[in-house]
Amino acid sequence: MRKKIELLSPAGDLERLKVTLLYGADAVYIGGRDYSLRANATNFSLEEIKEACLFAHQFNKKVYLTLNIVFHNEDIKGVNSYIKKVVDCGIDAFIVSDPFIIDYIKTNFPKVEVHLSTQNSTTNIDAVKYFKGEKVDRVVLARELSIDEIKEIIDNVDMDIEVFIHGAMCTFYSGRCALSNYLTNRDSNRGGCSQVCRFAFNMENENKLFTMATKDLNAVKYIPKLIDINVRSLKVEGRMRSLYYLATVIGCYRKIIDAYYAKELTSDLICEQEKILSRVANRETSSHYLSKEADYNDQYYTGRQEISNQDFLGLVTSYDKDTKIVTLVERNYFQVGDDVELFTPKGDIYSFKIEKMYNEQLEEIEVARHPEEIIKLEIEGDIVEYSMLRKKVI
Amino acid sequence: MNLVVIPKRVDYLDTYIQMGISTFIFGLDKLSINYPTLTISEIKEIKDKYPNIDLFISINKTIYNKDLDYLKNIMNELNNIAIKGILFYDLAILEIYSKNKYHYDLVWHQTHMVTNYNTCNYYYKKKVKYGVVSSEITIEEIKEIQNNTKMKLFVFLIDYSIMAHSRRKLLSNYYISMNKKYDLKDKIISDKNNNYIVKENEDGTCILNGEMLNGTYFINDLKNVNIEYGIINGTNISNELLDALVPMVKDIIDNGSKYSLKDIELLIGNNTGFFNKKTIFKVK
Repeated sequence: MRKKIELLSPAGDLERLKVTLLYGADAVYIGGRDYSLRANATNFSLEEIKEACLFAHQFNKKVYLTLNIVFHNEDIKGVNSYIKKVVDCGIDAFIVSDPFIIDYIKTNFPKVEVHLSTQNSTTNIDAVKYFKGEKVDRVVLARELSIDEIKEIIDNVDMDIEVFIHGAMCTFYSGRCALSNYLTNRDSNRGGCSQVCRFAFNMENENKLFTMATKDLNAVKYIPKLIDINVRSLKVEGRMRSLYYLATVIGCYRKIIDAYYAKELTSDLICEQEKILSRVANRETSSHYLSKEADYNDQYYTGRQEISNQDFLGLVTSYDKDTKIVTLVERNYFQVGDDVELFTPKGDIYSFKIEKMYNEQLEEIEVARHPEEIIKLEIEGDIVEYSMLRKKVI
Repeated sequence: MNLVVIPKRVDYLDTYIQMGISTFIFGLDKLSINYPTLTISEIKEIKDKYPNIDLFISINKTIYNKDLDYLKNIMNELNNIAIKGILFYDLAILEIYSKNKYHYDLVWHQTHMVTNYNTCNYYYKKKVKYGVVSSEITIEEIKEIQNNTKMKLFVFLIDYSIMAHSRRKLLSNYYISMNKKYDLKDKIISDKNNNYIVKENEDGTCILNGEMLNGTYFINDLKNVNIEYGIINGTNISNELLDALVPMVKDIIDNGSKYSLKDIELLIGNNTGFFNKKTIFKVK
């Protein structure tokens, strides 16, 4: 029987790791303090990696560590001992880019999986065959491939294939871009990418600025197809994304995947999830190469177009089933009379109008205006820690 | 050190051979980006006419499934020509190579990834005898790599360095956004400090540094660690300039006295790229 497809989430720290697993991720990828392509993210210490693995494994979920920089000589010293320490923490797989690391891990820790990073921009059957010969367990394909091209690879090589489904896109092939090096002296292939592809440039003989920035990826409509062609893992981009973003995105894809396997997926459900996802994104989205050659519509042409919204109202810290009082930490302004939704890690959504609300001392208040303020609401439901309150979306 | 020339056109080979150059790199029709390309029959003609030159062919395009049959045919056909080697980016080439007995060698040419000796040694064990060092590492790093690997290395000395490659048609899309038609010519974009060259073709878009790399100051350092090849990339250089540069660089490599580094500097400036500039990746 075919394994159920894996939903793979990023996490920038322990709290986000826990939240994303609670919201339905089957596995999480994280960065250590060294050798990861998000050098300026918080990233995980060895102790935190160990705690992450313990937390995930109690739910039969997995943790992968990115080790996907392109190594320079100075990075080599110490990497072997670091890998051993991470293995001792209980890591399930390493996501690597530089092939000498593959050889080292498979020789010394054969039970630990090696996943080939998208940094290698693997785009064809024979390249995947090459890495199969190197005992790689999984290949994360380039984001430049169509579903037909992905299927052709899966049909021709016995290899677990992972595909990006959501989040920011690189304008250029991963690993084939050093703009950051040249324009800002920050090494893109060692985690220092300064996102030069989102800068604007003067164009000779033209008044309009030249931009190359892409819209984000959103593959929500293509999940059934990706399951059908036997993709092994669906990956969400964004180790630097917020708790709210991860909970929302992972929650949406979890619903679609589960509904598809239960033969309950409807176009209404897909539309509903698309609507929720569109509210959490800070850029417009597109399916990019999945169904066609990426084109004019997949880019921005007028400089940076990033929007933030104040949909996220509060993070639930506890719920008293007897008094039906939910306690939350305020994130954005809301008030009595607002239409809101409280969504939970299980996927339940409680929609209601705020009739009354209270401060930490249970004094009735009209407005929650201070971030980090403790707010209490009365609501009946199966509500747990890490549920979230947002403006009404659906 | 041997001086390698990437000429813009085949009909200039005579000129460079007369200047004492015996190693050349060309791209291959439909399989190369940012290289002057030849067809198989043109490559054969060159080797028939100049049997004593070492000819390397760069196949550095990102390979898709639809390209694989053509790629395999080409690799087989190249086996019937006395080329010296293939510069490769895509690992499909190494996979195909490992399943066949070709007479030519492979050159690891993953543009921004040839940055450490361990990976050089990894590929060397896979019978990849040569590598083209990334233009984004320092002279000290290059020396350390060569001191720790048997792989024979190429280093770009003069080049408009390629900075990025995309599958997207970035120029076409830009002109569509203005309701204009792209005229298929290379374009110059700029920020407050520098110019950059943007080139688009059916395989996507490349962006090159608009300031020419001048690595000739480091020729002695490179010779001291036995770097095998220094490259002048004439792809984006005028024929006149290339004709002037080749004898100068050759003379300096050969410890001649006709030209000085200053002569080269007067022609192309003194941008030493990353030879003396270390990149950072953690922002404090």
